[in-house]
Amino acid sequence: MIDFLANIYFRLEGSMEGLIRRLQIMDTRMNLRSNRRRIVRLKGGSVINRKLKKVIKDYARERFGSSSYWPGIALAAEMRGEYKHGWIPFDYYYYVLEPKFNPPGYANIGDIKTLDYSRFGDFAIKPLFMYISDMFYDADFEPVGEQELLRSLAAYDDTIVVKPEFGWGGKQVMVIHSSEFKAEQLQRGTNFIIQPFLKQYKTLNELYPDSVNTFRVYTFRKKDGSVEAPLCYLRFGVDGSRVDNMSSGGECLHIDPTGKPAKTGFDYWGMKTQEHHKNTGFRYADLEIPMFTDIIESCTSIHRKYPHVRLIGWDICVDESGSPRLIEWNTQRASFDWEDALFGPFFPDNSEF
Amino acid sequence: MKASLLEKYYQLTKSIERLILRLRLAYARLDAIRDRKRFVEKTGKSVLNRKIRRNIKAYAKRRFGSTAYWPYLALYTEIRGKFKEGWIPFDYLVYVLEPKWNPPVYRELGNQNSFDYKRFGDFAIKPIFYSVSGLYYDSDFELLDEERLMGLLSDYNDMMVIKQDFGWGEKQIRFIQSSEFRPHMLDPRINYVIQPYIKQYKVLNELYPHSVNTFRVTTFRKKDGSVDILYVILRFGVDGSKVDSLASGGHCIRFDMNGMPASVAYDNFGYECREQHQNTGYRFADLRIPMFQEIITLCRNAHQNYPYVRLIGWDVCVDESGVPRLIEWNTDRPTFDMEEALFGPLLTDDEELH
Repeated sequence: MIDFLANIYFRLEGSMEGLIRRLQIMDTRMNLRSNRRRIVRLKGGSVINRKLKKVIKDYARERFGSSSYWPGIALAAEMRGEYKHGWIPFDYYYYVLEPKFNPPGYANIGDIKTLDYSRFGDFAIKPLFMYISDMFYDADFEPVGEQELLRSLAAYDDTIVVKPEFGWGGKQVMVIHSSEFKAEQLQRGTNFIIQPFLKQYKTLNELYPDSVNTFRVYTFRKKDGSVEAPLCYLRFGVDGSRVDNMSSGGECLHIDPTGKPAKTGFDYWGMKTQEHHKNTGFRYADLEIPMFTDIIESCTSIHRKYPHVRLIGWDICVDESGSPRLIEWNTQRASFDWEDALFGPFFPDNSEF
Repeated sequence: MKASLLEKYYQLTKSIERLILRLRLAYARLDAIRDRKRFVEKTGKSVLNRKIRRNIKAYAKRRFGSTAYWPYLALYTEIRGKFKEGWIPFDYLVYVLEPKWNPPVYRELGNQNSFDYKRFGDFAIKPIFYSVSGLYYDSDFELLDEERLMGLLSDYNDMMVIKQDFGWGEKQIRFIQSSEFRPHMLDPRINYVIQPYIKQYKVLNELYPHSVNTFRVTTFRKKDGSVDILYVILRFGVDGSKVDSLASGGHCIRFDMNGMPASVAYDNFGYECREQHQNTGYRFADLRIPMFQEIITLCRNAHQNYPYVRLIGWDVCVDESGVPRLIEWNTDRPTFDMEEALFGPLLTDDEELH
């Protein structure tokens, strides 16, 4: 009887999963459509006409098996201002490719931030403390009592960053003075890492001093095992923002494979901004990053040691002394949509799928 | 419309999850009842009477909130020969405590076997190579082409163990002579770690030479951060079996914290076996493991570095030279039932449970 009921349940669960996946894809496509409308409004016009729409649908059908993937490609065309053959629509990337690139059993290895220092040594930022399973630990995983922790933080007397594990888009990240830290600020059951606030490299500070400005480097492990860095851009805050996230209003600047910055920045909606920072006046074309090769080499060489996942998004800052330092690595939802639109197509054919 | 549909789906999922949990609990309890009957049939006696049953149910209600948890407690009572207050029934351990102790997002750490050497260094067995997504890598994750791989295997020229990441039980482990290995014989959709076959410590080999006999050390991280050893057993094969696991018919003996072995062994169902190995005649009480404290310390320290999960089952063998080597660490279902019945109660402090 129990076996019979369990069997019914598993069948029901399978059908429900199929249904929810369809609903999620529908939801994603509605978002892609509404984002396209927004971009058309912002740009004051659309590049899509009937003929181009047909080209896009034909491409979607031919490459992805269904014309219903057209909204993501149409969005990319609006962002880029023209259609580029070879784009991957976000819904296909997110629901079809990513689970293959970064299988579920390994997809969260990058989310366990409290392991980064023990994994990567000084390429990661040495934590002051970690809060794991409702206990405080030092960087060597030795338990630390709350009073001792508060004393140490008071003595540290500088700005600290408190980040939750499995956090997303800079949300829940606290930047506070160490003396202001209270254990009650941490949500029980969630793990946190407490790090020094990094003083960044002079040039990056001149670009915009109120946020730690980070390079997002994408690395991809090819089928032959080699690792490439197909894309790098620098993110920075604007208008007094303390964070550099694009979703929080920040902007980005594409850096070509030789380390040369683009002339103009982009915002979250893929709109070109100016040729200099709107607050500091720093001219983007003047940005020189002497350690650019080190940044790329650090990311690709580490990725080679983690071949279990194929696509990783690395967030790297450069400290005062000019050393690249890992802020975080994203193995889950390391997908890119507007990046492929603006700077791609990164996968023009299916040879790597 | 769309949001409401999604919302309804999530509500339905939650209800179904609750239902399936009930089904699983019911299934586990039926298992306990079946096992108890089998145990009683085999031993020809039962210690359970109306009074003890009432005590068990009262204890289950008081400590776990429901008398429904009685079947495993009754099974433990038959195995032990008496009821011991303080036991945790297996269904409560698996479905209530473990998800809290070892949260799902961290539970997979121990399943990623191909990271063990990176994580634990020489406490783990240095792999000969890895197979990840159909590509081959050396123990430092340097890519190996087919020619280098074959060269490496030819130099090694000995028995190897092929273990799957996320493998479960003995079925996903293969033993193979390195000369028999051929590229493309492994499934490219699965990741593997390929290790040398461990030649075990003399005493353990004398105990039973056909399987690699391993210590299961179960560690528990307390709320103050310290790590306790809940129990240590040594598992070994019998009757020609190549594996030591209890589920595959192996037997076990308990070790106390001073490294002294018990005089009798047990099988997977908690039946008392003999005082010596049934095939080799090795007397269990004569087992001396000089590196016992080292095994304990290594497991305790390793757990200290992974405080994300509270309960870990470490499988440790001792190599020919006497060095303890980690075979695997279990963060997903490191639970215990027969051990609780025979050697428990292992966790009596309610403060530590929740």
